[in-house]
Amino acid sequence: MTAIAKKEEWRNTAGQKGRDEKSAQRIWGYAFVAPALIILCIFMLLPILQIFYYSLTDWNGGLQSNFIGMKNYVDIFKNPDFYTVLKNNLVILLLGVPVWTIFPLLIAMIIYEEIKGYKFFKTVYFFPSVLSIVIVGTLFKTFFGYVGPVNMMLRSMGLDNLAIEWLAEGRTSLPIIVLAVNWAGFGSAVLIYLAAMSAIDPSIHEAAALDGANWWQKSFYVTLPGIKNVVQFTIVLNVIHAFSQMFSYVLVMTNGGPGYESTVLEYFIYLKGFRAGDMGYASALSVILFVLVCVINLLQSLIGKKED
Amino acid sequence: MFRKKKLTVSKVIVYLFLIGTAISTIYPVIFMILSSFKDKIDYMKNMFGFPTVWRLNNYKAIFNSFDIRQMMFNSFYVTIAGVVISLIVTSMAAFSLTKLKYKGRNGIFSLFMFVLMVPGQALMMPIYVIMSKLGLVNTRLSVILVYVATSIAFSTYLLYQNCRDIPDEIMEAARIDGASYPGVYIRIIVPMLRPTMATLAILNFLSYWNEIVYSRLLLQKTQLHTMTLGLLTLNGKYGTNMPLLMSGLIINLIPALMIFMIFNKYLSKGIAMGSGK
Repeated sequence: MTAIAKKEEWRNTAGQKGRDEKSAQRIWGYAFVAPALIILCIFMLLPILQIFYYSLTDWNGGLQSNFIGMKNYVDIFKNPDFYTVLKNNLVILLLGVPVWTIFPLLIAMIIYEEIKGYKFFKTVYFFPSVLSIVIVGTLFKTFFGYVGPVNMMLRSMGLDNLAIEWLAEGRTSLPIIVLAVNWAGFGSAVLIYLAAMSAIDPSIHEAAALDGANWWQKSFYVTLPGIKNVVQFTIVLNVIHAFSQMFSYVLVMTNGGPGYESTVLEYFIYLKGFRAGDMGYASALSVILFVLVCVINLLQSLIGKKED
Repeated sequence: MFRKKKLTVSKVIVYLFLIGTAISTIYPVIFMILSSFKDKIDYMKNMFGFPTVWRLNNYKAIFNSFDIRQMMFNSFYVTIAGVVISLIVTSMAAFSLTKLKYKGRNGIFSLFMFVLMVPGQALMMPIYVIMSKLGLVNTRLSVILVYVATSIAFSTYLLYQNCRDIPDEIMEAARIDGASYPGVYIRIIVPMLRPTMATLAILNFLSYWNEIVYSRLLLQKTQLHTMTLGLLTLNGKYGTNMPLLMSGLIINLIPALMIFMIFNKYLSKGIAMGSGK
């Protein structure tokens, strides 16, 4: 039997077979999605529901817990430490997002010109992306330690006044955390930008070059508009990072100290929940973090839709 | 003439910028390697130069105070198990969500996309509670499940995009020849998704290998510690003994470095793919 005839036959016996086919698709459809869905439900969705519930109780990790309504939220908004922590997140957001977005963009724009050795630079820049945050954090802690290489260099240049305990003060430790995040991640951001740039029609660039446009003009009037969506995507990702990827850096580099000077929201949750045992309070903080990130995402998708 | 000269000046600035950045990414690693062979005094006196005597004492000390073999085993165990389970469940889900029609499919897909934007760290407490109720705290399975759970949404999303591009006709033809859906999945879908799966395997390998938040929470027994967790302990215990710390970093770095050198191409492709382009 030829393939075509076979197909004909398969299609012709639609009645019974069609119903069988439908139920087979249904059964196997559910069966194939089930493992992922079950893991997702138990370890992601259930926890999300639980933080909402716990946040309304005074649960402290023990067997007993009482429903106390919005008291945890009221306590949080009355707690001055909460505002310090929130301010730290904002500092990281305001310093970090421009740096994490623009620095790799600049490099990608240069590398895009395929100057000599661009492959080497691409590889070298990407290398820190494979390192664990513990390594990155420890390296930065070492380099910016009181007797670390940075201070040694400053002292040898006679700038003793500048050789300070960099990570012992929120004023300097937060920017250094931002720097560490940039060091660890800019290489992969460069790759994302380059992938987007490779999709731009090269004839536009050629036309611009014929018109005598220089590198700045080409970059800002041709390349940048061409990758607008990806830049937007990167900004959103960076905003989310500023709220939800700082835990490990803070843990390794400063432990949130001194006091709460370098504590971020995630670390505050950890301190309240696991160190102080105040699970209800920490859950309310988690809800706040969760809502913050969701609102940012929502805003972004609204802006994205408007532009389309 | 003037134009040409200006061009070289700007070229020099661009190269200085690129090279400066390159040094900032390479130098810390060189510093790490050199420092790991110094002793404390040599490190303080001569921070930037080569070691006066190349010593292996730091490495010996680390091997003596940590059960590196056990830690390596733990790291590879949770990482590889996580990567394999993740690939199997997410490729199955992607197949189901793109190629099979059933009620509620779109709803399930939206659920996956919703989880994509959940900050994983906000769920530390409830996950800990669930794990202790299941009796899984201090088992390797607990972190494996968390790793898989936190990466399911992203991996499924990437495979979903890929799976959608596989033409339906191929599957239909196999069905006519009497293949079952599991057969279609194994013989057609998996081979066609292989490049994406390879990329995901490497990306997940690195993120599982380097993870500390959940492994720290769920693997409290020392004999279950992963390499990265051991490094955190080292950081806390010997935070002032830089040369020792540096040699610990190097030991932890080796697997990641190997992955980087062998799979650099796949890795960079994967990162670019992950941008949602």
